[in-house]
Order: sequence, then C-alpha cells, then structure tokens
Amino acid sequence: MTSRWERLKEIVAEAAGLPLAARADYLDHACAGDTGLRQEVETLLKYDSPGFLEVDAAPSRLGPYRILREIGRGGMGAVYEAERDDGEFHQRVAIKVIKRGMDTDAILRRFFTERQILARLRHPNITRLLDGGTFAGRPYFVMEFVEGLPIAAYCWKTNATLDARIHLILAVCDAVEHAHRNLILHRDIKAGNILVDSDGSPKLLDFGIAKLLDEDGAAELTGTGMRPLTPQSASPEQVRGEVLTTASDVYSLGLLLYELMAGKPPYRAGESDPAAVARAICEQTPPRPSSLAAPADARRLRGDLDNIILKALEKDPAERYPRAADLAGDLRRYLEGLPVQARAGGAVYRARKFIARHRGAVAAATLFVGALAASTGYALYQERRADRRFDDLRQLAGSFLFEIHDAIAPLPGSTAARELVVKRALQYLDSMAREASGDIGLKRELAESYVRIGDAQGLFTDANLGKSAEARASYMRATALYREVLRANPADIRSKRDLALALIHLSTSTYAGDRASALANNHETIALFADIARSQPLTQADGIAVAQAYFGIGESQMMMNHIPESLEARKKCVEILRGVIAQSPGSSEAQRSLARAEARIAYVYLNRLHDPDHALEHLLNARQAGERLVALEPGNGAAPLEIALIDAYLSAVKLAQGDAAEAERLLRSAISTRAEALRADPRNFRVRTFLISDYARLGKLLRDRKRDSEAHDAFQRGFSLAAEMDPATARNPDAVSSIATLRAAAR
Amino acid sequence: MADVSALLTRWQEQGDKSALDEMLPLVYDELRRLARFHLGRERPEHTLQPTELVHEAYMRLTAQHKMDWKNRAHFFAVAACMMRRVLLHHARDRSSVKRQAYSRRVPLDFALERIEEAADVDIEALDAAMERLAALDPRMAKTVELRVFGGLTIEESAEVLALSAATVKRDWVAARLWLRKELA
Repeated sequence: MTSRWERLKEIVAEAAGLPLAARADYLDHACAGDTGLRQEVETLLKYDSPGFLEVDAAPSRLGPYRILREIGRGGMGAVYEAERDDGEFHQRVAIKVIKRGMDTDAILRRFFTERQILARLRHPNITRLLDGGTFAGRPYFVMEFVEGLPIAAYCWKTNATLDARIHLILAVCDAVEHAHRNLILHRDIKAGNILVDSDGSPKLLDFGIAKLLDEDGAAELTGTGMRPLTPQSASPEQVRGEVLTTASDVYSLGLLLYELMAGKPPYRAGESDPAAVARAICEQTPPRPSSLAAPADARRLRGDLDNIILKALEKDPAERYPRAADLAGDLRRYLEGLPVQARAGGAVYRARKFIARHRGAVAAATLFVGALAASTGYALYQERRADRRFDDLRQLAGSFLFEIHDAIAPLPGSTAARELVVKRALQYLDSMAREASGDIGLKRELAESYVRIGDAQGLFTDANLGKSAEARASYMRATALYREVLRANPADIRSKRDLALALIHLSTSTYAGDRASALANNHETIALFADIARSQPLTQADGIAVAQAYFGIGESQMMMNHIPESLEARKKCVEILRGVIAQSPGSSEAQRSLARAEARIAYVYLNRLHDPDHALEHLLNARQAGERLVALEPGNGAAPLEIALIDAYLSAVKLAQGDAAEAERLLRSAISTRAEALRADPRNFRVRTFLISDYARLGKLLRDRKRDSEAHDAFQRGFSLAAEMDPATARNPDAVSSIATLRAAAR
Repeated sequence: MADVSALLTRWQEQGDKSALDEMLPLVYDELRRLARFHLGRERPEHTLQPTELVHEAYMRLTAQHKMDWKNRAHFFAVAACMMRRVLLHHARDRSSVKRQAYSRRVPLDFALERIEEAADVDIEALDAAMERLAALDPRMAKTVELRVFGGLTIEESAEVLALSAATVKRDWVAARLWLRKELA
C-alpha cells in the first residue's frame, strides 16, 4: 500500500511538471500497463489549478503589465499598481485581481460584452477601464492609475471648506450623469471609490465593475438582483433586491454628500446585525445632516442643504432627484443663492407610505435597457415590462435573436456580438423550456433553437465561440427534446430525421471527450436514416448527413487507436460523398465534407501508419475538393480556410518525404491564409488555435534547419497569439493542446 | 519579552522535548496578540499577509543574532502549526459573533482572508481536508502546513522534515492536487 502510494505521488508530481502534450507518453511509460494506477493519476491531474494554496503568490506580470506593488486589498480582491512596458510607451495602471471563488467565466463573459459600452465612458472625472484578462484562473481588470487620496481623507487633510466639498461632489455628479447618458449605472458609488488627485480633481473608480461582478445574471435581464457590495452604502431598493435605476446612483451620491457634509454616515456603522442595518436603510429616516455636523458647518447646512441631501436619500426612488444632473442643479442653485427644488416636510410620512406600499412586493414595472452593442456597431435598445409574456419570449428566442445571429455571423469580427446574442437567446430558451411540458410543437421548435445555439457556441468545424462543453449541453437538451417528440409520434419521418441530425451535432461536440457515446450517437444516426430509407428515398442532404456520421465514427475510432476501423469508416464516408457529388455536382456542402474526409484519411496515413505516399494521394484529392468548394462559394471567407488546412497537412507530408523547402512554402501559405482570417475576426478561436500550432511547427522546422533567429521569431508569434487569446476560451482542450505543442516545440 | 532562542536550542540541539512544550504557548500567544493589535512598523494593515505575522512573532520572540537559518526554519515550523490554530479559532469566534462586515477588521481577518482566498474554501473545510490528508500521509499534511501557514520555502521545509528538497517538492505538488480534489 505504502509503496504504491509513494509511486502514485512520484508519478503525479512528475507528470504535473510536464506539458500536457507530453503527459500521455510519460504515463504510458510510468504506469506500465497498471490501468488502476493510471486512472488514479489521471484523476488527480485533473485538479491541477494554478495559484491554489499559494498564499503569498503575487503576480510579477499580468499580460503586458509589470506589477510594481500592491496598493490595496478589499472584499473583491487585491489591487496592484502596474506599468505597461511593451516598448512603445509606459503607462501606469491600477490592476484589480478578483479573488478566487467568484465565477471567472461569467465575469469575463460579461466583461467582454460590456467592454465596448464601458469604453464609451470618457470623462475627466471617471477613471477608465482599459483592459481585462485572467491570472491563475482569476479575472483581472486594468484601470487608469490615479495618484490621490480618498475623497474623505482629502477633505480632512486639506481642511476643505463646505463650498470646496460641494464643488468636489458637483464634479462627481457630472461624471455620474455622463455615465447615465451612456446607459451605465455605477451601482457602487461610495467615498472609498473616489480619489482626489494632486490637481484637486475627483476621480470616480470602478465604473461598471459592480455589474461585471454581479453574481446573479438576472441583473442583465431586469436590472435587479444586485447584491449590495457594501452594506452601509446600499440603497433601499438594493437591499430589497429590486430594480436599480439612475435614482439608485442618486441615492449613493446623497450618502456621499451626507458623509462629507455631516462628517459621518447617516446610519450607524457600528451596527452588528446585518438585518438591523438593512431595516435602518429601508425604514429609518436619517437625521438631518445639520444635527450631526460640526457647529460651523451645521449653521449652513440647516435649511436648503439639509433638504437637498434628504431628498437625494428618499426611500422611494420616485421621490428623489431622478438624475445626477438634477441633484447637481439644486446644489448649484444653492451655491448661487437661488431657491432650490428640495423642500422640507413629509419625508417621514412619505417613507411610511412607501414602505406600506412595497412591503413584500416587487416593483410594478421595470425599465430594462439592454444593449446589444459590439464591434459590428449594431445596437438594440429594448424596453421590457415586468409582466413579459410567453409569446414574446417565444418569438424572441425562436426567430428574432437568430435572425440577428445569422445576419451577422458571416461578418468578419462579429464573434463578440454573436456571443451576446447567443447568451440572451439561451436565457429565453431556458425559461421557455421550463414551461413546455405538453406542447409537442413547441418542443420541436425549442429543440431546433437549441441546435442553433449549440452551433453558435462551438460546433468544432465552423467559425465558433470555442465553447464545446456549453455547445454539448445545448445539443443534449435538443436531442432530449427531439426524443420526446419522436416518442409522441413514433412513425413520424420528420421527427426521426430531426433526431438523427441533432445526434450528429451532439457527437461532433463529443468525440474529443466521451468517445463511446459519440460512437453510439453516430451509429444511431445511421440506423435512423436506414429506417427512413425503408419508406422514402434519401435526399442529397440525408446522404451528406450519413457521410458525416461515418466521418464522426472515423474520428472516434482514431482516438481510440482503432486504425483499421477508422480508415474503413472514413473511406465509407468518401464513397457516399462521391455518390452525392455524382448526382449533384453543385453541392458545396458535399465538396466541403469530401475535402475534410480526404484530409483526415491522409492524416491517418501520415501520423498513424507513417505512410506519406498514401497520405499525399488523399491530400491531392482533398485539395481538389477544396478548390471546387472555393469556386462554388466565392464569397465565403471560410472556404479558403479549408485549403489552408490541407496545405498544412501537405506541408507535414513533404517534410516526411524530406522536401523541407516545399514543406516550408506550404506551411507559410497556410499561415498567411489563416492569419488573414484572424485579422478579420480576432476572436475566431478555431483559426487562432490552428495558427498557434502552425507557428510551433514552423519554428521547429526552421530551427532544425539552423535558422535560429527566424525560428525564434515564429515561436514568438505563436506565443503572442496565445497571450492574446480570450481567457474565456483559453481552457478549451484544443487551445490547451495547441499551446502545449508550442511550448514543447519552443524548448 | 521571552526569548525563545534558548528554548529552540535546547529542543533542537539537546533534544529536550520539554523546551518545545514551553515554546508552544509563547508562540501561540504572541501570534494572537500581534494579530489583534498590530504593533509593527507603520504600514497599511490591509496588505498584511499571514506569513508576515509569523515573521513578526519571530522578530519579537527571538534574539535573532543567535539563530542560524536552520533554527529559524524550525521556529517557523512551530509557528506554522500555531498559526493554523490561531486562524481556526479566529474563524470560529468570528462566525459566532457574525460581525465581519460591520466591525473594524483586525490583521487576523486579512490573514484569514488570504488563506481562504488561496484555498478557495473556508478555513474549517481546509483544516478538515488537511486532517484527512494527515490520516493518509502525515508527511504530506505537514508539508502543506509549513508552506501555507508558515510560508516556508521548499528548502526550509526540507530542513524541518529532514528530507531532500526533491521529496518535499514532490509531496507538495501531489498534496495540492489531492487537496484540490478533496475540496472540489
């Protein structure tokens, strides 16, 4: 027992230090056929997690930023001062690394969808959000660095007069108003989030961060769900989990005013019971600021300023200043000696009335502003009511969002916009699926939608968002729904076909993982079509589908190292496709499938059977099909990528045959096609992954030819592509393996 | 101020076990005291790390010129064990009072946060998982304690455990994976 455990530790520790690509070989050797041991080792290795238990680990770099020092640490994580030093320019920034335990993927997804919106915020009193990424699995945000004091400390240190304090807050109000005009709420305005720089100008920090960190995705649908980040600075509606509006930010500004004018917050910070704090916020009328202030200030606060501050702090959002600009207006009128809008009286009465109205209830109507804003410049503003109706949802999910998705999908650079659309559609679909119990038509419609969602999320073979696990989940939902539909109509041909096609999608997203179930799904597809063929002739599209199922079987068999079975399935696939093409030579789908199938056959000959001559023969077939495809679809930007794939294989064959010069030429040609595609859409994950592998191979090829500086250059290009990868997709198995290949090659 | 250097020497060099017994409460009390009322040099307490507390206890409890790095490592090993207990007790106190967000935070809160942040779970869960690891492989559990709660390097841990650095490194890597799985 002991020696086995020691052996296990030794193997695990050794394997953990190896690049992913090299682990399998090492384990083959180290476990020497002891499958039980190997299984235990592999299970443990799955829990490899950078940063875990490394208490003192402070990053020395984050992306292009060099960390200079830690400047703070709070509920959300640590903040560092850093410097961008990529030669071009030196920019000092503040980087907030979000602590572990928050949902990294969700935060980053929100970050990438919000980034464009936040980038619109340009105001001298707002620190800009510049960048974001991940470090050791934790998200970080890069912001403009401000050298300054927190606003309260600044007022105290400079002994600021009442007027000076009001001027500071006026600048903050302007910043908040600017954001409101851009449809952005701050949601966490508080003294600690405002620094005053050496020019005496206040800077509001963390705009938009609160929303990014909101654990409850519901916020994006309804604007609710925000959990207060700082209990004492929460507004009544925030405490109740209701809708946040511009008036919520006005409330926060009121609290800030109160604190700077009276010198203390309206509700006692020493409260030990969170429920008591929450109750005070929702029910207790704050004392008039003048009653708490220093005598010199109290005299001036009494009257108008008291009224202004208390109006901003009304329990009922409708009783407050609707916007930051209105609050600022009253403050300016006060400074100029003009009558202000805020009037004393009725506060207690109104608060009571408001609580009576709202106890236990949610706000009646909500204003939801969602922005589908992204690189395509497409923006959609949509007003939603709390009592949204099922039919609206159905229409939205079933057609509207897909129309948008499909319309922008072929556009270069559309990935970010599509991601947002997909996310929205999924939210709608999930809410509908819960209500679809007996409705067969609806189930079919939903299943169809889930397939399209899955395609958008990451069908391996198309421009995609690189999220195969999520795609798989969508396909599973689709097949489950289609099975229910088929169970209700066992003889219905359409239901059989629907299920068969969905199973192909499912297995395509599965064969890198659960090979046995991918294999079973493909066999089921073939059986379903055989069943259909008994009652009606198969169409061209059916033929292509059956060929795809054989293609999938070929993939699974190859991954299980069943080489003859894999070749057999692929040759069957080619045979069927040639039959389809003979009947309809104009089918670009058949040409595309043929090019891929021939290329994969070549792959087996080259890499598994070490037979470059046969590989070359099939690659030439593949290239022919690829060229026909490009001719058939001249406007499709993805078609040249098929040829790039074949050229990359051809390059490997030429290398195996000893023709390094031709290998280099072909590889460079593949790289240039792919690089162009990536320039057009930097978030195209599949192309990026391929390019990383290409540069690994090019670097290796060049180094073997003693062209070290060119080799170094190629590896660097690979590494910078890897570094720029969207962190949300960097954990995809294909991405991980391409990066591991690059690392191993560059050693 | 008690000087634990002599106790360390008695324990380490003369094999006097009672010296360790005398030392433990001294270290424990000092850590708790430091953690509550941070008396160190001027510094924003929010950047405090758990191992800084251990360092400070070390500075206060020993006449450092008498200590070589090996003795220092052994002191830290004792302090790591104490630190783990101090933090565990603090977490229990804290949760019984339910006051974390509303009262001034003490250095120990920050130290605790750092550990819990690095472990991704609360300290009670981490402690329980470390106990299970100790039942399986006490040496590995000790390594984790030294590294996480004492801030010892691989080399210092190797000195304390009288093992090669390579062995400690291996235990550390395997222990992290095992604990991560256990806590998943």
